[in-house]
Amino acid sequence: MSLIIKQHSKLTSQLVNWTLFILSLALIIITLYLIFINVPTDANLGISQRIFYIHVPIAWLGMISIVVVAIASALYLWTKNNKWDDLAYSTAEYGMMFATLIIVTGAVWAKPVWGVWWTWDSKLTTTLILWFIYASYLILRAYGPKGIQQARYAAIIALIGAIDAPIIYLATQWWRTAHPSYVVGPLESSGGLDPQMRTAFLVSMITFTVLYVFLLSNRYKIRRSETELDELYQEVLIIE
Amino acid sequence: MPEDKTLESQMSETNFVSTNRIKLLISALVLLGALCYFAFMAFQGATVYYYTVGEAKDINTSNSEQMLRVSGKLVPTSFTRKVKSTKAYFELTDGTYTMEAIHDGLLPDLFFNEHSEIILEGSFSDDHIFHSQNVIVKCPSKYVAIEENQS
Repeated sequence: MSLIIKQHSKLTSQLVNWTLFILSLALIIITLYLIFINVPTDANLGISQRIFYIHVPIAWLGMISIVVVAIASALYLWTKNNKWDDLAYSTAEYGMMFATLIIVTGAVWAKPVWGVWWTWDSKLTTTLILWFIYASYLILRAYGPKGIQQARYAAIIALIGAIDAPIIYLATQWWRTAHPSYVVGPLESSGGLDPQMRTAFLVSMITFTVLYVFLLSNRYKIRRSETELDELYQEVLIIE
Repeated sequence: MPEDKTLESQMSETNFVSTNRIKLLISALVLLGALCYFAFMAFQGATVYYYTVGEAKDINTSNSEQMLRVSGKLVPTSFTRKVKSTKAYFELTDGTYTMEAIHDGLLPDLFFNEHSEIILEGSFSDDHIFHSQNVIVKCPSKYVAIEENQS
């Protein structure tokens, strides 16, 4: 009976995985069409503004990742269930990737528009801090003490690190920066974005988020297997 | 007798672990303190990313080595550049005050855009002319489609 249930849940999981994969692929094609063909060119920034549809969704994922890592870490500290630690670890890896991409796509956009690759404005500096938070988290996971202690230390880094995400978001409001004030989102000034650009932006946000869920769920499954294998190995060691 | 020895060695081991922990705690505290101090010092200076032209007007020019950033809009008629020279003379304004500035070097494409806000990195000379070393163009916070007939 349990075997049937297990097989059934495996099938469901595979079905969900394939659905996410096909959905991501379809959405990527639509988004690319919107960004490069459908969307009008910006009157002031010209062709370079099109990176906006990639840069902002990436920034959203980079910032939300640290929040996910922190929530999963808090749940791990609360429940002591390894599943949460695995989720935190898997998310941190993607967070690191997206934090790197925020800085790279930002620099590529800043050069033609601002005239510099980098400037020490508050939004850039706090994003760099986020990158260092991910880096220290992953360094700890690679070289720190093994086992429960490592997971706990890492959880504390994540909990402290998550404070940075709202600071990055609100930097434009709190300090003078080279970034424009909010073009979209809850703090936007009205009419900040052309309607066609808004559609492309929203579709791109959905695309990146779906792709993120697909990638993360797969990384999480691999991490789960690694942990389970590790636990089995520990059990064998105890028996011996 | 051997039991006592084990106990003794166990105790010394516990002591060793606890002194190690104290050392770790102290170094962590020192590091955290240093980090907070640096963060505080850095934030004091860095939270003001740039001054407006009006604020910069009041800055004492005797300390002319001091690097700062000043932001304003270009006064379109003020821009001059000699033939075969990279040295540009122009004025920035915040609507009320204007400031003379000199920049030697390339200028970003959006420098002359009427919607652009310009941030100059540099220092004031004694005659209160701003000598810019870097030009950063702050882009407009509105994205509008280019007119069909323009493209």
